[in-house]
Amino acid sequence: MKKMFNKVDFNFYFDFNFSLWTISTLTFVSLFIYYLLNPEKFEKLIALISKFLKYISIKFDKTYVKYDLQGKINDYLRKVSNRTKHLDIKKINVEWISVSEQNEKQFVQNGELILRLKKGDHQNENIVKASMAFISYAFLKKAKSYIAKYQRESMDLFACYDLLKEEKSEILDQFVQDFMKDKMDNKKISDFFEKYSDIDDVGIFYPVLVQELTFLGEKVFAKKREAQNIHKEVTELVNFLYSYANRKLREDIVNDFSGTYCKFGIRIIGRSIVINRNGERVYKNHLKEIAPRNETLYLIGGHEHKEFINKVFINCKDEIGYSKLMDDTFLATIKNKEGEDITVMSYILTVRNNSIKVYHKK
Amino acid sequence: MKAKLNAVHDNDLITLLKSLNLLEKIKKGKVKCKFTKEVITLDNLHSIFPEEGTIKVVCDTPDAIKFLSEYINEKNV
Repeated sequence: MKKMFNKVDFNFYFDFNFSLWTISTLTFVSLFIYYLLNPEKFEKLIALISKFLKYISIKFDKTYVKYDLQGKINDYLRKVSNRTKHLDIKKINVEWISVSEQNEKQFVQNGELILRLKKGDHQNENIVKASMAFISYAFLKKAKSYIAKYQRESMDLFACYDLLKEEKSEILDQFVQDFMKDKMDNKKISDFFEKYSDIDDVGIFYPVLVQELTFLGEKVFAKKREAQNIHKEVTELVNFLYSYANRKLREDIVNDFSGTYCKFGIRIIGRSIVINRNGERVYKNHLKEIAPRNETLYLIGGHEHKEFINKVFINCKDEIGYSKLMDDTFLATIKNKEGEDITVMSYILTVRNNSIKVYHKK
Repeated sequence: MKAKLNAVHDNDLITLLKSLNLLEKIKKGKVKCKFTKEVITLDNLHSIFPEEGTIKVVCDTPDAIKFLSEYINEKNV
């Protein structure tokens, strides 16, 4: 045996003959495709380059201020629009006004809000103030016209906090000191904010709560509406999702929400014991049963059951009259049977009843 | 949908204020914040918008910005 191995001779030859030109071209093409698919990352790159160039010429300060701000907000918008459909705003453009074209008469008649942005040395301040202005102006614009003041203030604070939490700690500190601290003295606002935080921990703040508020905004748009009923329904919606977020593993709770404007069900799909014993059948039958009384179904499960969840839905979608709206994989912090936090990789498939017609601009 | 956020950079602020006939008034301390009534200076100016035939100016105190956010929500400025 030993003799035989001694006679075997392995020879591997690798011939790397890439020229510098080929490597640079490949790198350039890859970067081009990456930035084409992620324009907000390109904005951040421009900001980074201008940050250094502004020490050579002050002209680059404007470029830095604009693209740094725009890149940060658009990065957040991309994250949100990957998790929520039918958003009013998907991209923002910071536009420098043409100063020479302005005059008092014209501005009074047709002018719009102009935000002052300080020089790049004060960029943290610019980011905090512009983020507040942007969230108030653009985030959930339709729904916020109909919900209560404390509901929209808490929603704006949470969205702004979420936008800034990935930034440098000084930026978040400034936001907390200047804007959050006082507002959190209002019990209604702080209660809602804490509930959003729990809802976000399980990964359903954007894909379910913001999604349902977006639908609500589309539905009540241009229709007769009772403000008090909408305020009550939004509070019930938040409380429902808060209870859902705090459920323990395998705990049975109500998982359908039937309001006047929001009608949806959340279903966990993928208990291994059920999949192994009954396969798709039990889930398909259940979806057939709950589909007529809901408008949206949120099918949630472990990431390892992604294919199974899709298979269940595809095999009954025509029968139940639903279409896929979106899906997402995310890290969720849920409670185990003892109520302790555990982190799991989850998957959500959102499907929408085909018969629902709402106003929304393409 | 793409939204735009109109802005003026510090480099162009003086020219803008001149065009809108606000520079002298601000230098003389005659312009007050729409929300907090604080005297507007070149340092604390946060934003400008038109309302009912006049130009309103907002200072950069957190209170004023909170009022402005609420105002934007309600009036769709």
